[in-house]
Amino acid sequence: MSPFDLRGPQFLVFYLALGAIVLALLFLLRRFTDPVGAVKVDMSDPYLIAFLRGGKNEVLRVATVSLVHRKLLQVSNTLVSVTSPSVAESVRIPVERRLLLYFANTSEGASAFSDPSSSFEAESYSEPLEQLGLLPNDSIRNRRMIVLSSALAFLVGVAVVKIMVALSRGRTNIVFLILLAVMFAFAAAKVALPRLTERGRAILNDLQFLFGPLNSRPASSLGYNDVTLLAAVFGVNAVPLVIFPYARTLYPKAAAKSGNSSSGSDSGGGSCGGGCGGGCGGGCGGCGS
Amino acid sequence: MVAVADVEVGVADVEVKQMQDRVGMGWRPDLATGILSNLDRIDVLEVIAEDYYERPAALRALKSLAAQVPVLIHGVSLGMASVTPVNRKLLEKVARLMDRVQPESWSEHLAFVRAGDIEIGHLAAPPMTSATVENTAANLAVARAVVGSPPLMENIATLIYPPASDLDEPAWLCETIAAADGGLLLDLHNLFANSINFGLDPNEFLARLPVHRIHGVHISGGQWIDAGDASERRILDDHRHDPPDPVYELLTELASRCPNPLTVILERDGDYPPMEHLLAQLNRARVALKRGRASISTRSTLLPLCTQWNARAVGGFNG
Repeated sequence: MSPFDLRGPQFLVFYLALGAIVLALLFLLRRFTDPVGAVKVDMSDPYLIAFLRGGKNEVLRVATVSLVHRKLLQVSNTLVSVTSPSVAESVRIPVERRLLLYFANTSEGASAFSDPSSSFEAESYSEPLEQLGLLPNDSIRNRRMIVLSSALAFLVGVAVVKIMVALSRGRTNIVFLILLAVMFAFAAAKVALPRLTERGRAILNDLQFLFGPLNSRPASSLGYNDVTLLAAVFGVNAVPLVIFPYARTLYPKAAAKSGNSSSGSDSGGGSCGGGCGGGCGGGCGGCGS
Repeated sequence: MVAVADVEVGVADVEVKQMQDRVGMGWRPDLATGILSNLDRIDVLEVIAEDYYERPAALRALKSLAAQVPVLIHGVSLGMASVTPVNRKLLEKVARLMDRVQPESWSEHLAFVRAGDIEIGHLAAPPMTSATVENTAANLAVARAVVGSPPLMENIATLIYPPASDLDEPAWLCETIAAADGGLLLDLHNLFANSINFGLDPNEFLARLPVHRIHGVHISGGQWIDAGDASERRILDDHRHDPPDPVYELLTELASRCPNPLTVILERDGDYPPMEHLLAQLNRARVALKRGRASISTRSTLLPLCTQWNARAVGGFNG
């Protein structure tokens, strides 16, 4: 019996199963074709990490946090401005310099996202990440698009054939099938076209694990570099409020969804380095390790 | 304390081209940011094996870390220097970790950590006898077979000289390492602390060791503590202080004698200073190494001397 001869509810169940199988295949195909394995990454560059985690706008957010913390920018309500007219000359990192030049004229914090110069500098972090296989390059993107197109053609094609069969038999109850097909199309795009590669996702998780202890350190012990890395790895909302209380006012959208990005860390592992077989430090009687 | 700037040597003039010594530090989560931000100034990292057993996320992160910088595995729980056989299940964990991370080498302590089913929670010095030499060698042979490579074995610090010992520590180390045909991870602060605590000359202690078997070095610091009554004080190796000057001097001395490239690891387990301070200590270790290497051509190997001294110390043992 052809599946197209199934009655409406039965066909919907069939289509649900078919869609789930296609999504699973898309997921597996991407996992097996994406670059995997550890690579050497510049872990000292917070903006590289920020781009990996959240893209161009995240770089600009993290840079703004860093510049405010270093007292090169100041915040008043939702407005950001430089603390002195010549501060741009005091920094070497291009994206920071661009932001300082942009905020020479007092502006809304999030408005920097649409500044072409700042955006250009922030976007420059994509290239090294693509070269490392952490973000999809053109080749990966093309491959993913071919796979997605095939999946969509199949899913939509099956739905269209069934709709035509139904209409030819005088049935018009096709709304659920159309909704299901649209839902699967979105899901397929989500599964087939993630922003990161498998390697990128794994490295980001590993970075959040390795930098995990940073998340639990008291604010008073965080230096400039720590704060920038904290924002880069976990998001601006992970920065203690006493250091940067402006996250919700400057970046309400990012703050609203930051629960995902800032809570992904484990403790970073380890005891006192396990260094003395459990009895380290504080006078373990000469642990001797 | 001698400032780093005060101990500059003519690096360019030093004949160290053949000696690819490296200086790194122990990975501690509390130091993660500082370490990861300064990997260009850290040649190698040593991680504690037990922190990664049955912790998949930690292990994945370790593999990423190993892609950034050479990693060494350091175990604390095997208790190799024991009269009881080493725990095979623990060795299999080491083997799996080695297989997953592919570190350059692994190391353990010349200590016992359990008695029967009781975990001491501590690295304890075994009686320094021929029996513990034999058993340690047997345990090392098992470790080599299960893991696939032998561990470097580290001398430990102790506040109490092990009762029932009939060898002194240098002789016991020489004999154990020779019996096991293994390599030595020499903890210079442990050597220094034990020497001071038990009336040995640290330089003589070092001179008696088989330098051709030394491949790794630990440096760390400790503090003076009262040992029972106020008249007697001992050094506690607590890893919470900077390595004292004599440790760097011993490192120079070792570098002047050791024919092997050395990997020096700075250990710190608390009271963490700013990262720049720790990096300055790494630089100081590099300077100490280079100073020692600079004089290597003028020194003869000390192996025959080591053997003579040990024979004298243990009443005829020829290690």
